[in-house]
Amino acid sequence: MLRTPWVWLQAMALGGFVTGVGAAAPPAAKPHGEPISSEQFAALRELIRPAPGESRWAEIPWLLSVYEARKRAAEEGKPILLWSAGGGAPPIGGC
Amino acid sequence: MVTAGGKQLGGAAGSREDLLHLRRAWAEWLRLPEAERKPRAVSVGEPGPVDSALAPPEPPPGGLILKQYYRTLAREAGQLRHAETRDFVHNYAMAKDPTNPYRIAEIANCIKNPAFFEAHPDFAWLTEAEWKSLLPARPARGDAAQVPAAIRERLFRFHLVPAMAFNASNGWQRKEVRGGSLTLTVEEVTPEKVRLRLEGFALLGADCDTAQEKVRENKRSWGYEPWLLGYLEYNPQRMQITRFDVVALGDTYGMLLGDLRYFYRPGRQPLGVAFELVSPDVAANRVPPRGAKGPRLYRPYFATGR
Repeated sequence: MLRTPWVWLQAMALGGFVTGVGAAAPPAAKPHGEPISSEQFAALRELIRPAPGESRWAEIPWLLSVYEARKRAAEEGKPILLWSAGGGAPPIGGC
Repeated sequence: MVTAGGKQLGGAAGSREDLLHLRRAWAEWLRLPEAERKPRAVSVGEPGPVDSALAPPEPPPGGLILKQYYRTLAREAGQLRHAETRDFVHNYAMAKDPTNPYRIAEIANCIKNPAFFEAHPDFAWLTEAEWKSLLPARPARGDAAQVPAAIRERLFRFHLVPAMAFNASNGWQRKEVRGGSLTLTVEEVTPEKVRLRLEGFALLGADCDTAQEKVRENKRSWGYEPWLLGYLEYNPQRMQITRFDVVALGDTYGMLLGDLRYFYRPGRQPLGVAFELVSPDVAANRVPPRGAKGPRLYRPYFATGR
């Protein structure tokens, strides 16, 4: 039972309340299987997140701007490692 | 690899020769005259004008950045585990089919690569008004409310997208959201901290029976039906969110076409997604959401709920 309209009121203020998208589904329409329990939460989160030793590239403090990288490389006397990708292999998130 | 002055070192690296190219590039760097390598040897001028229509979008001011991870999972002996190459070997027959028009051999190499099964990242953005709308003005334990439609739709359409686990996608179309619910409940209230529980589910894409039927007809159809659970914490005095941990777990099923056909697994297969709060002060956390990576996609990303 929803008792507090805190989100409802503010969502209406944002102009984002009345829409058919994501509207409550019929009672029978639910995902297969059981909902995630609070006891499962921590272990499931760890299973999904990067495991130790995975995605070592993500430990590098990447810069997003080539210009910023050039300034820093010039200041420190270092070369620049450029990494870009397209399609489904994004280097640090998006293409 | 390049120098600050723009000289390319070692050539462009290919995916299978990265280390070789890096070693060659590093050797070329060391062969440059000291006068070119020393600090402040190169003067970098002011940047030229940037076409704002082509510039990557910036996170909304005062907004929230969530980092998310997609993880392809498998079930074995009643337990969940990370998916592995052996879960996809049924597709090797496709790779050997000379009549197959797709770059299957390349994709077969991809599936042999352990990185394919790692957690694949993306970022979600909420505006300041949006994340503040999640926080009750007078929180009381047990109070509950629906997550605003704008946030719910954005999470469903752009951040629960199975293709992101192994490729790119523009997300689900609005009509592909068959249903779902996200509820926030106040679990704990202290002067320093309020904890909210977020729970719900989403029904995205085709239903399982329809998708399986289409697969038998060799047609594109798929879906994802995750349950969600998470915890948000905020400081009620500062109105500052300090935790936004959410996980989604559900079955994905069906098949995409083209190159993506290779990632098909029959039946229902588990896919996990995890969200967490990250700092906007780290440059790498400011990568635009993959569903909003271009100007054309940026507008619909923030038009959710309207």
